[in-house]
Amino acid sequence: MTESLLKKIFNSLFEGFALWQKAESHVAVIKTLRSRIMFSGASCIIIFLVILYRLADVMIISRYRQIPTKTSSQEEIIQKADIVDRNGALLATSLTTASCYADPSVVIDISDTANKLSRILGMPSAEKIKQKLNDKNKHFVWIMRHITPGIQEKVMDLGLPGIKFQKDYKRVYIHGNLFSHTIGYTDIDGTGICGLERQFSDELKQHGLSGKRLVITLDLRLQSIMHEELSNAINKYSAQGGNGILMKSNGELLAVVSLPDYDPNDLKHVKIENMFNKNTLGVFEQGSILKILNVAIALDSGYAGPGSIFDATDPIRVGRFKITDFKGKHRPLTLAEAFVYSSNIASAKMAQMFGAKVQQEYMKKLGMLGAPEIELPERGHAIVPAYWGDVTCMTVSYGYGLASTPLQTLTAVTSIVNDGIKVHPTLLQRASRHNSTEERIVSCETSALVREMMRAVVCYGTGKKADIPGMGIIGKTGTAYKLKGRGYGSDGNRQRITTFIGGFPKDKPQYMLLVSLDDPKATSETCGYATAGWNIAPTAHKIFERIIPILNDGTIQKESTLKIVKYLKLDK
Amino acid sequence: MNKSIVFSMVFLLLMGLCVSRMKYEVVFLKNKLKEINTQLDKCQDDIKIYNAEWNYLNDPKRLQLLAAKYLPHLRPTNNNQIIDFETLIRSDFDKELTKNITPPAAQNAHHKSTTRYASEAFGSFLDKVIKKYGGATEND
Repeated sequence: MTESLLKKIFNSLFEGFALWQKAESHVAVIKTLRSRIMFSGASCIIIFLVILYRLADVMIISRYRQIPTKTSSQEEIIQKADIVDRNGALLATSLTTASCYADPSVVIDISDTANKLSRILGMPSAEKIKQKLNDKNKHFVWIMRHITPGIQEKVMDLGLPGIKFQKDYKRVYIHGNLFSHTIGYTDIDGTGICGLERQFSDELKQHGLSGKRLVITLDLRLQSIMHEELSNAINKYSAQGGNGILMKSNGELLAVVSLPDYDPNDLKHVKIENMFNKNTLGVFEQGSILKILNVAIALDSGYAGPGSIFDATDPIRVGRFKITDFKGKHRPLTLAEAFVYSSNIASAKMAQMFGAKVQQEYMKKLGMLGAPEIELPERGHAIVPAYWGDVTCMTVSYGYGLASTPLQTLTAVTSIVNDGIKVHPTLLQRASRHNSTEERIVSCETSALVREMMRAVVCYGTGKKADIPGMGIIGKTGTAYKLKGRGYGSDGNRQRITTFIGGFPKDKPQYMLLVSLDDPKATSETCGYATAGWNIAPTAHKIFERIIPILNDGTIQKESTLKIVKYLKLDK
Repeated sequence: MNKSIVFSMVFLLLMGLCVSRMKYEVVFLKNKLKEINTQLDKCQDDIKIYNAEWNYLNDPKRLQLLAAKYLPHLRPTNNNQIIDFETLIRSDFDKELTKNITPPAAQNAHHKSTTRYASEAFGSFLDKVIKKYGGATEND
């Protein structure tokens, strides 16, 4: 009895304890539960607040905040880098303009929009604008590129829906036609079409924003002088055109002019023939100036010396052709005399001595058989005779039968007078002319003799009118008949290309010049002659006269007796 | 426990506000930067236009015309005016100079006198230089 009572007591105690324990655990659970509910509630409130704030931000605040958006193809039009001359004068640049475009899907009244736009823009016509706007599937059509700020303002004032503007770049050529053939031009999107613009199109686009500029070797002042003097000569001698190149002895081109030319800012009114660059693309027979190469080959190959005699008494008959001299001496001539008096007969005989093979080798080394080496896409390949026999060898000696560009000829002659080291023409500035790939073409002695003879041409020969006392001008004139179909025309209607090639100072030429006139006419001033000595030599004189004070560093070439004078029987 | 929850909530709220504020500050600064860049672009465009205009105005032909109009007595250097030092220190320098220069007829007399004066002045200057620093003269 007592035992069962105790059991009951203990049981109830245990139960009570268990219940107490249970109750305790419930309190803890409730507490945990309460805190969790509170945490969840708070989280919900925070999330709700965040969402509320974001909603308010998107719907109310952002409406008043202007966030610029990109329009259409803004990044597609790229600003191109500037082109400057050797002194930093700006030649070509990209200026910011506005271009008008339309989103046809937004335009409400097509007819009204087209009429209003056409009235302000002038071009294109209302009909054309209508055509463009009719395509409602499109979201972008150009209305007009490169419009002036005044017109832009007028169009904006119309408030036409769907008519927008985009920042654009227009390529501007500061000096108009002065550098047209060298710099070339771009299309409306800035892609180079010809000249340096085409050659360096990618580079110019790549560096457009970095502020880098393309520095070329041309000199604005010298270019302007050459352009002016050549234009004057063309007018004076009623020539069809003219061209000129001024080169430094390290190959850097200082001036390159080809006339007629064009204004790259106004391509709508350009004649296609004016775009022809005579200097690098014009391939024609160079005439007597090739005698410089001929005597250099004769001297350097050891077949002749300055005193070697060549009989120029009678013309040479080759088949039905006859090689004659213009104002020939009709007597045996020394090599020096043959050069100074520009004897075709003696030159042909000289070429017969060394032969076609030697001639071809030298011509190849001088770069006369390929295309000119220059950073321009417009390069004409020389026209080389298919069969280079003895007759070709003779005609090439005095400048016929081999057609090349003026730049090639100037490069070849500069290489000869430059101590015989090959010159590589360039439009990009070069640090030093002496590099590891120096190629000798003729010996220093040959080079010096050729320079002496070229000086003699200016002192006693056909180049007298080009001389500037004290400057040691060297040169050679050349008059070549232009090829007309299969012949050179009859006596009355022959067309000529007169050329002067020369440089200064004689002992170490620093600057070389080539100038040509295309079909100059005789005038009373030229005593009825239309040969190089009468028209292009005075032109070269005028150019020298103006460029020497700019280029000369104060060096005076002392007049000394030429060593080759002993080989010359001078006319009184 | 409650305190820590309340503290966390307040902290979270503050953090949220800070982040939000920072975000809008960044957006504001971005816009400002864009505005400055636009202004910079405009300035650069203006500079390009001025530069182009300056180069256009400095076209050699235009300068030549202006020089002829406003500086009629100045002419480009004649090649004969470039002489070497040896000729310069010779006693017949004046003869040499006047021989080489052919002034316009109208200004001939004035030009000769000016040339004479200039050469004499330069000669005396040259004497001083030679006396001070030494140098080759005719008497050496």
